[in-house]
Amino acid sequence: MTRYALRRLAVALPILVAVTFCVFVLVDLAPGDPAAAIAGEHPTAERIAEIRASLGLDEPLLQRYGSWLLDALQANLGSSLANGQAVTDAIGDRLPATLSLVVVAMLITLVVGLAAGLVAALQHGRAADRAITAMASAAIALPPFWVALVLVMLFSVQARWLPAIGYQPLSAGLWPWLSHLILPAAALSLLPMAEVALQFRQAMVTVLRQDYITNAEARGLTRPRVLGKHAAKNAAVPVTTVFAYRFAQVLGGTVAIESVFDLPGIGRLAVTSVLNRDIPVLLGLVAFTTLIVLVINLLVDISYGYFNPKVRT
Amino acid sequence: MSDATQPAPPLLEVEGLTVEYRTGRAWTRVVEDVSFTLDRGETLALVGESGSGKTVSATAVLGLVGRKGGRIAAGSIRFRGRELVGLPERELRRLRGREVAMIFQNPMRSLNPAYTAGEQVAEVARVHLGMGRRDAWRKAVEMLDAVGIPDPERRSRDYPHQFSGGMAQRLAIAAALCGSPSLLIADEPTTALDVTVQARVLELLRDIQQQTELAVLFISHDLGVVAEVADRVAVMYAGEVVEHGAIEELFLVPRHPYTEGLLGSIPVLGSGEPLRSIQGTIPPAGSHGAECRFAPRCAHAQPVACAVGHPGLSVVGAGRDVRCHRATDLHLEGIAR
Amino acid sequence: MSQTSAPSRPRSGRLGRASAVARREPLATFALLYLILIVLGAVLAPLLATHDPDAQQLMQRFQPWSGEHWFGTDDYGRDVFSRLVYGSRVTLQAALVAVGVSVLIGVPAGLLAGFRRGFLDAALSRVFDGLMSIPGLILALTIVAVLGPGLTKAMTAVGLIFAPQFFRVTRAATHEVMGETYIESSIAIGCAPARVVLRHVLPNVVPAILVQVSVALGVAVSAEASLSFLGLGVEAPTASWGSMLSTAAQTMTLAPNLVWLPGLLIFTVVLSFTLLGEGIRRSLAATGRKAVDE
Repeated sequence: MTRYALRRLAVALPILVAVTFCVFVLVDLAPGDPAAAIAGEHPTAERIAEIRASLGLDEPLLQRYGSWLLDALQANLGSSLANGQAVTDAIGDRLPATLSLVVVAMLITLVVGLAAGLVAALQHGRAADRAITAMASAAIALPPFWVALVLVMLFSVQARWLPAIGYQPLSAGLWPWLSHLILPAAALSLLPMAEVALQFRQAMVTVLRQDYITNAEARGLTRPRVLGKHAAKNAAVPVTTVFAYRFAQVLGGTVAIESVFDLPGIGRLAVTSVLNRDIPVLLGLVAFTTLIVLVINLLVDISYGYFNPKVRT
Repeated sequence: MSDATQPAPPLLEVEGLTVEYRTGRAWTRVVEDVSFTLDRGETLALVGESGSGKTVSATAVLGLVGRKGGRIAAGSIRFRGRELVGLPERELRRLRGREVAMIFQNPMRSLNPAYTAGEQVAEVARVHLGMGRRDAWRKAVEMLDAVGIPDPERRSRDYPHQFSGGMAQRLAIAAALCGSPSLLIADEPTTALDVTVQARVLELLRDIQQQTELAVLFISHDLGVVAEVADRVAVMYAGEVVEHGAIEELFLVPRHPYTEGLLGSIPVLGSGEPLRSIQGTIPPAGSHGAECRFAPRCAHAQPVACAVGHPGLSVVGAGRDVRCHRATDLHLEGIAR
Repeated sequence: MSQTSAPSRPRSGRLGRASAVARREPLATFALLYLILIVLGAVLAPLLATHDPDAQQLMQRFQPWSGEHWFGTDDYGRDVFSRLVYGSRVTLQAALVAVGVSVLIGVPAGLLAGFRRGFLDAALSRVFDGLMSIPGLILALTIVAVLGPGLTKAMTAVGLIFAPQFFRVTRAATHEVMGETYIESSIAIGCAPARVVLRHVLPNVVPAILVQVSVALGVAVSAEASLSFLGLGVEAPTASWGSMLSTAAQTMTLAPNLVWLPGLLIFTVVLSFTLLGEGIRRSLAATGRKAVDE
């Protein structure tokens, strides 16, 4: 099992290096000179050259990537062109809001998605199944940020049940924290939820037809035990795949959702960095989010080993 | 059947069993008016091609027909004299695995790929014998040993995919017998296995039967395999029992043309005779009219009699029943064992 | 269950076949008709629009539905109906750009990987796997930062994000086709590889790509909306469905209908593209040609 995990890790690391390198090259091709941008209005040529040197911009590309990577390995992603803040600090400041949002969204995704998928699978071919399948298929076509706007209109502007914007840290209390996250997380989770529901339904329908399920019934096991233990573990594999795949999207989706709800998270940071053309921050964000996605994928790969013993060997 | 002097009822009594499955809005009969009995230590084989209703009859005994979208439309199933049809799910569950167990055609597919051999056997011990985790595990290892799996301590931690076909079927038998049931339903238990492995699994079943008085309801399409294990045979065709009798009689003197056909397809070593196979296929369920269901494929069918009336099951001897219009005038070819 | 060669009576020609498909796939057909309507609206925007979409009438802000302004007016008194009609041009063009880019990148790479296999296949697969592990929007944002703002640039970035899907579908379909005997025989008689790919492989891979195109167009419409909503797409006065939502979001307390209308349009268009894709997939599967995916 450990060897299996290490093997997956060996595949993941080169991807991270390759991704950051490509983005690094891409950024290098960008028109415009960041040094000129930093130097402010009416800079002298010497001043620009000085900044260039201090940013290391006069070195060859490979060398610059090498030193960026070395720094990155020591958790140093450079500093923002806009305000000089260390990129790791900038990300660190914004992390709690995004993390809270993503965790709550993924929880909603799993709970509602799995429940809906299970009900549909058990009611296979009947009205409840058709309704859930139709709703999930439609939900996939809903743009998340629009859902966010509609949720705000319904629950904050008209009903005034939940706050429309802002963020409260968990230290401010569970409810203040959660109440600010319910609407954004709901909007963010709609798409992955629908996909998890559809996938879990399909997987359960397939698994429930298997001989080993009939066998479990024939051994006199209770229905919850047959479903929860014998069926679910086998149906989990395709669901984890979707879940992991969607995780990257959810992380990307925070960009729009955080803008709607004015959450001080990584998505907002990305938008402001784009508008400021704050390349070090963006580069850091790419590296950071890719790392998270790769870690999630790694965990999922390892979970395959748990759910499906065949892949271990 | 209703012999007043006989004190204990047979272990299993199936009478007039009729099972229907939902097809769209209508219900289609897949098993019709099937009756048989089975006593302790006895082996009854249900024989027929796929689609003959033999597996459905067996799952009805376990009360699993409803799970698969079917229903028992008529008939009764009595186990130790107790009526199972209409029994609440709770009661049925207590029966399954504890009194009546089942093994399947493909051991690989009937074992859960996500759990180890030990876990699957131990689960039965925990659920039905009320054992704790550790006792159940010890019982599981014992069971693996009992069904002839070498090195049971180590193998109990392996997953099904790490077992060979024959070993996997032994594992399935271990899990089935863990609750010490008195009836085992074996649904084509050797069909998916190699011939040499087949023989050993059959031998294992026979050994267990001798030791524990286990009754076996053996489902197969292969009379050759049935000859090895069964005491009595019920031949099924298109959802009905067409012939029933003790194995020797049925093999020597088949009374139904379908049985003759099945016997003809058993290879006999050194006989030099070409194998005969029955032409055509089973008509789909629900398509039957009021004729003999086997008539279209029957070499002995007579134009009017066989095409018009549906033959009933008639007694032609002690424990011998045949469903054929020409049961009395046909002389069919059997084989010596 | 088993659809044995559709029981269609012998009907004459294409029209007959089309009506048979329409009967089997009513939802997809309805989606297609709806999309045709939307595209026609975009093409004929100058004829359809009742007002200049950018003309401001500050005296007539937030007008409700009326004969003059069918869908009312927005925060600058602009005619919402006309803006939706003209906005559909921008949105659909943007979607075409994105899907065009991803087809241009993904399909040739997929053909190459499926045709050559071996090292090239492995290398290309790795590259696209890597691309897929970057959160899509973050990658798009980086590209926008590099290229500068503008809808076409942003949608090029979106196209890059979609490319792995096309790569996968094309590669899988190519693999499948390559196993067919007629491909093997045309290679055996010495056809040039390029010719084999263009003449024999590509036509058989097209159906699978078509399904993906339909689905991707839907996602691209949604992506345009997101980017324009974030202010990274179209520039200020130009109407697109996304930019309309962006301004509507600021005035939602005053005029909720400004949020509903573009959103519902986006939703129905995206849904239609998805339904159409599904319909194509099923029809192809029914006629024996496999649309390879999942």
